[in-house]
Amino acid sequence: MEKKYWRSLDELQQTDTFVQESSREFAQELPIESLWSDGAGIQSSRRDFLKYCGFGLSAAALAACNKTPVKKAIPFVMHPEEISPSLPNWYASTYFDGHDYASVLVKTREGRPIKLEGNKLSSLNQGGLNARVQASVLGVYDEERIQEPEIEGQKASWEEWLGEVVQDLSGASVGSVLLLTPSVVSPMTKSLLQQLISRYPAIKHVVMDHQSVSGILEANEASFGLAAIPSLRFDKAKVILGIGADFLGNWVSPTEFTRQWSSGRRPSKESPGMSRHIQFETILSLTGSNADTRYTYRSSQEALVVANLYNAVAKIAGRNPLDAPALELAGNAIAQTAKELWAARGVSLVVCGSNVPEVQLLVNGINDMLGNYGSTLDWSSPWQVLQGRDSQVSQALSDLQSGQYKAVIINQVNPVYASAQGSSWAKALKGVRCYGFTLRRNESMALCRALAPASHVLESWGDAEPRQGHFSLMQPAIAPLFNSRTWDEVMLGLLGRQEKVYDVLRNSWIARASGLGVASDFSAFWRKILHDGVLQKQGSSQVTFKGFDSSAITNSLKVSKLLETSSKGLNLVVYSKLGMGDGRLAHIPWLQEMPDPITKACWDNYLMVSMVTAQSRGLKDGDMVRIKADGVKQEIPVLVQPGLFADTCALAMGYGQQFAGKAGTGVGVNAAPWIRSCGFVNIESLEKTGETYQIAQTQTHHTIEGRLHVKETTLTEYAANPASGNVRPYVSVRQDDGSTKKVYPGVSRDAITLWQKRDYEGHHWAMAIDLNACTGCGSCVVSCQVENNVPVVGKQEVLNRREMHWIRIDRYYNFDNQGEGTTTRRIDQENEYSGIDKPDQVSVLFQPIMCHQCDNAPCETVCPVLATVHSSEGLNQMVYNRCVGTRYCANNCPYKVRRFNWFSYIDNPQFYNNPAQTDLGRMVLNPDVTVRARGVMEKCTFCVQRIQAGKLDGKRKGMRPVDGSIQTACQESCPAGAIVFGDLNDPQSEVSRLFLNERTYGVVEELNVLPSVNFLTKVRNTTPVQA
Amino acid sequence: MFESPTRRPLITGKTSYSQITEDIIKPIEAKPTKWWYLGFTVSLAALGLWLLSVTYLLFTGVGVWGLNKTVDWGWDITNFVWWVGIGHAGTLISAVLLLFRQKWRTAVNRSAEAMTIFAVICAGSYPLLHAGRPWLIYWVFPLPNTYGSLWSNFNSPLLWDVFAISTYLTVSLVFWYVGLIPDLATIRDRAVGLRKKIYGLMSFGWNGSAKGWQRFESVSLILAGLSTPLVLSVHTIVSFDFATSVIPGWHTTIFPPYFVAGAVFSGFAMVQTLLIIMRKSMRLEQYITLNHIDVMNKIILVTGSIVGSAYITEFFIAWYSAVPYEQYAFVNRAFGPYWWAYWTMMTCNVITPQLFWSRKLRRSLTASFIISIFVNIGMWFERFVIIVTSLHRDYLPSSWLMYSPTWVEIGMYIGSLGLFFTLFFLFAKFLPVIAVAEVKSIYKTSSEEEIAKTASKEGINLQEAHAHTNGAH
Repeated sequence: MEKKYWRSLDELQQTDTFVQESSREFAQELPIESLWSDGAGIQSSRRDFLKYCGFGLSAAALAACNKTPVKKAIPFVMHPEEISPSLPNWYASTYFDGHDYASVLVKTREGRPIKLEGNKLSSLNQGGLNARVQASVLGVYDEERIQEPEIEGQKASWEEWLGEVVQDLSGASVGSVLLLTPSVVSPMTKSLLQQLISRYPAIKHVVMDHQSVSGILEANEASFGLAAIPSLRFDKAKVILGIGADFLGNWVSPTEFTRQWSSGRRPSKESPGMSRHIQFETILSLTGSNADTRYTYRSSQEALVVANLYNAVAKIAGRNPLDAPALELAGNAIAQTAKELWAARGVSLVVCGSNVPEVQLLVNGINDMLGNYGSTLDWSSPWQVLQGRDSQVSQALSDLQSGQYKAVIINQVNPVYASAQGSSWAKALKGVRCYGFTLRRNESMALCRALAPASHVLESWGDAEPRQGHFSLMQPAIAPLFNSRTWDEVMLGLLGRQEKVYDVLRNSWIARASGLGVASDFSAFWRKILHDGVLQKQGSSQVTFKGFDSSAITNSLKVSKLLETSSKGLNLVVYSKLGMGDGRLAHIPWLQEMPDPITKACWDNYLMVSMVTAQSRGLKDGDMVRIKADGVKQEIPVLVQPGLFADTCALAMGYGQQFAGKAGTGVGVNAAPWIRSCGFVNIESLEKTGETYQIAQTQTHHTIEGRLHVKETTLTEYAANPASGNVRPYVSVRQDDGSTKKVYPGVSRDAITLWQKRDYEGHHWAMAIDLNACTGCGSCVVSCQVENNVPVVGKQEVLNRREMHWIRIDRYYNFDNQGEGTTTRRIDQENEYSGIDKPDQVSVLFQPIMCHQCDNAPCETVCPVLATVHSSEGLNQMVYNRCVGTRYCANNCPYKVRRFNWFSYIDNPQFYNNPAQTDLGRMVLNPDVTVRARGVMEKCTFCVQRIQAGKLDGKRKGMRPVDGSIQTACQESCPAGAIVFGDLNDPQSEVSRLFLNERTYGVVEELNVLPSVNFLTKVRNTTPVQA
Repeated sequence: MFESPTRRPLITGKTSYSQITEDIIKPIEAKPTKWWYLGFTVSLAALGLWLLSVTYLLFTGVGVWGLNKTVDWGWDITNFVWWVGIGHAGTLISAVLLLFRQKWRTAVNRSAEAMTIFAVICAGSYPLLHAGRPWLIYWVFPLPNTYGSLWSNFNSPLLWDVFAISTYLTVSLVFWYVGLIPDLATIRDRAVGLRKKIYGLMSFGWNGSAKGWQRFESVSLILAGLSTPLVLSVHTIVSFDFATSVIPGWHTTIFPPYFVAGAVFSGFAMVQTLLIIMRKSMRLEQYITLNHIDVMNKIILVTGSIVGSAYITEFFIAWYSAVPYEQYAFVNRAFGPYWWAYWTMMTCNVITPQLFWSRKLRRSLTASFIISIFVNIGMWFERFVIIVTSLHRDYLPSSWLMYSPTWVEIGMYIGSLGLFFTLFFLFAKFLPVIAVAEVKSIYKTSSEEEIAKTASKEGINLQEAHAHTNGAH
């Protein structure tokens, strides 16, 4: 039987009490009640306990959630279809800032524009892009931009701002509100302007160009009835004469002209012909430094030079001469040049930079006598980017002074800074109600009672017609970063129209499309022109030369004292630099740090004085002088410059601004007070102050010391022997039969070497640079800087000789006599030219130098940690992460192209100009290129990121990258097409063919470092053209 | 071993074994003189400047120096080579002269070796600090790592440098320390208390037994044998830093012998400078005699002449090579913008040592001191000339430019002298500056007293004999 144990009698007996008690959890009632209640009779249960627990827990949890990590990377809720991380998107657009026009391709990465390239479909810039447009992309990411509309210093809404303007416009009498704008190239803007003016008759619209070509426009209006500039065909011209026209640098449409000029100067073995370029000028311009023959004249005698040339041509042509005093330049230059121009009549071209209408009329007369109209000067699609008339601008100023205007609307121009009458403008503007529409504050905008932020070009919809019949579209690459609008949007606002500017643009194109004969599918047409960026139709202008009254011209010139033969005193010439232009982009540090192509100086303007003046007045580089000209006094540092006419001083415009941000404010002095349409002012006094000033130059040794780094020949010699001037080093090697054979290590690579022969199985990247095409403009320097995140280091570091540019353009001077041979003087002291007889007769050589990617690279062997190594494709790779910074590689580089990160440029406050130091500025960095840390070496890699992208593209398509599909940044931006990059392993590639050209050589190839960059000799066409 | 009594004595005056111990060990036990305090304070101040400059350098970047895009080495590597050169005398004296049984070395070898070690420490600081990212400099060592094939570049002379200098420092340090052991034991035996414990520990239980001495001698010889090739190799390899490059003025096959001679030259000059100061300030005239000074000067004369010939040979070869870059490099050295550096070098290194053909000047303390300083200045400029004038104008004239140092570079140079002298003053205070045991080993043969005894035994008139041999050894 089962045993049974019990604990108590009650259990055994299963009494009622026991059964009742046993169902309870605790033998005794717990004193919860007395514990929980505070005596007020609040009852709480276990349920309550759990509630309290739950509340406490969730309260603690909520409190703990207070500092939720903020996730800044917010994924797209709706992923834009076209944006793939790490893949760039390209948009065709148009750049126009009031002076520079370019059809561009905008490279965007993850929605931000990071680089501009030239649009190859555009006949104007043909893929080239000048330095300023290259750098303009940084203007989007500018923290100093005006971000909100403001009225009298107070933040306002757009409605308020527009309301203020409308109020001033509505009640005003006809022509009492001055609207000052830059040239208007957009057909849409033009039609909106018309509507605006008809709606508000109070508006008087005046176009103001900071650098006007007013003289040519007025002359052409008189000669042809068209205030425009014909298409100049430097490619078709056999003899080109530039008179003070820097057409390769800053005159009219330099990017287009550079492409044309260089395409007319590519002699080959088969057709050894090229244009002959003669330049008459006062200062050494980029164009003059590229001329075959160059003569200097006194700037005050420009009109006289043109008149004498007219007479010389007229004499040959049997026409009536002008009544002008006779003048001849050194070496009978005018008579000689007239003969050459006549010999090439019909295919010659004379251009002049003068802004005096009478002088331009004479130039038109010369071109007409030479029969150049219709061939090298083509009126069918005239160029109409710059439209400003100096006379209208000065009229506007006097009207303003006389109180005719009650209000002024200033749209993106800066008369106070950029006009010669700047102080008068300032005074006059203070008296009226001024409205400003601008990207950035400037001297004029500071006088406005209300300011409105303008959208950057890359944030805007728009169009342009830079040439008649040549259209291009502007589309935004990024949404406006600030509360800004385009000028077209502002006009729509003023008109009270609610449409979006995009619709207005599209509708205007629907109207235009029917005129252009686009029959059916507008959408497809629209998509195509938006994709292409340009639409080019032949213009229809038909004009003929009307001739002119020569006595009226000479009388007028005599009245303005421009035909005087006296040659006393110093002249001051105001010119514009390639990097700075008129200074509207002075806040962009890339342009400040871009060395001037001629002086190699950056971060300053300075008074260029001729070597003769320097000697006679005891001036040397960096001396401060006090200069007084036409009543204006300034203190400026001196830079002694060869190539200047003896009695000439020159000062660049675009400097001395008060509102150019941290990069440009206070840099240099303002030259605008001395801008004259005649091109010069007389210097009343020039004296040393005794102080000195340091001018930062990236090159301080200016002659080539007789070394053959830049090889040159003349066209005559080239025609006789294509390899003339190109003596290449060789080694005599004994053959088995005892004879010796010349082996050219630069040609048959790896012929002589201690090293193991390198096999480049896939690609072998190389570059050929045609020194005959390169003008030295420096567009590549900025392009490379933008592409490769090259830091800006500032003036002090340039003075310390530590600029970081991966590509530089070496510029050498050579002094010879009348172009007879190329004798080279040795100049051993830095910045020293003493003992040169004719310092204005200088010939100039340009040579772009970047890493040569040597096959036997001296840098590679000396690195102790293998931070720079050779790739299987011939690239000399820099492994930033591995670099410890011994700098032996830089010492051992024969080309001195390696650049060291001396400091932490990305966070050391000394380098505040570096775009990478601000949150907004960092947006412009190329995500494909590492931003280098302090203490590592860097250098050109042939844009390895582009090579890689090109190879991946080829891989995707299952083929080798097509020759020319991979372009380096320098190559792509080059307006002259001087740089060719490609694969040496592909015998059909252009670079392979160029490497076998008779003109090709490598710099210091006798070292047998086997550079992968080769140069083509420069050919000068020094022989006068005979009839 | 018999020593001809006609040789000039290497220990002058009245002395004895115990007196030698007393003379040399006493300064270690006594309180330092006020001259020591003065010197030490100045050195410490200079060391402070070094610390300041180095801290600023490390926090800011190599850009605080005056280097630029063309001249990437300046005072940093100049100082490096200069200090390495100075560090050459120690090994030569202790190793080569030991092998050649040159007894006069016993008085100078200890301080020469100490100097070597301190100089190499100073030298070593430069390659470390000149690097852009010194915290990663250990990457030059062929350390095993997880990066696959990523290793040091054995083609690079900078890597050879790492091995050469570190080997040299190690061997010199061991050699110096081994030589110190018997003397440390002597100090231990005279000391009490904590000092006895410390020196006892440092002397490795040396008990002066015959076996101990025998082993000591063997180790010395072995180390001397190991060090001898280093005398040639270290500066040869340092010269490869330049010779293996493509830069005109650097790319020169004469560099190895020329650098070695130059190093010995500058090293002896530095030893000379220090000996003359020490001899005077620590009253060691009996042990560091004019004969020692004279012998040292002769070596300076010989090596100085080798260096001078090398300079002239370089010029000849530059002309003979017909390489325009090479020719220009040398013309530029002598007549370019850095002509003053070149002519300072020529004056100090080629002309001044030639004065030592005069016996009078060789035995003049003042002349020896001044010339030794001149040689050190000249040898500094030699390195400056080679490095800077070659770099500042090489192939492409567009990159030609000038280099000048900043206060940081100057501070680091003065500071490294501070580091050197601080270490040297500490050495002079805490360790015997003359190898007591070694000097004792020549007491019987080369002290004035004993020589006089031998001479009288042999019946030689010493005065007559000395006049006859003109003091030759």
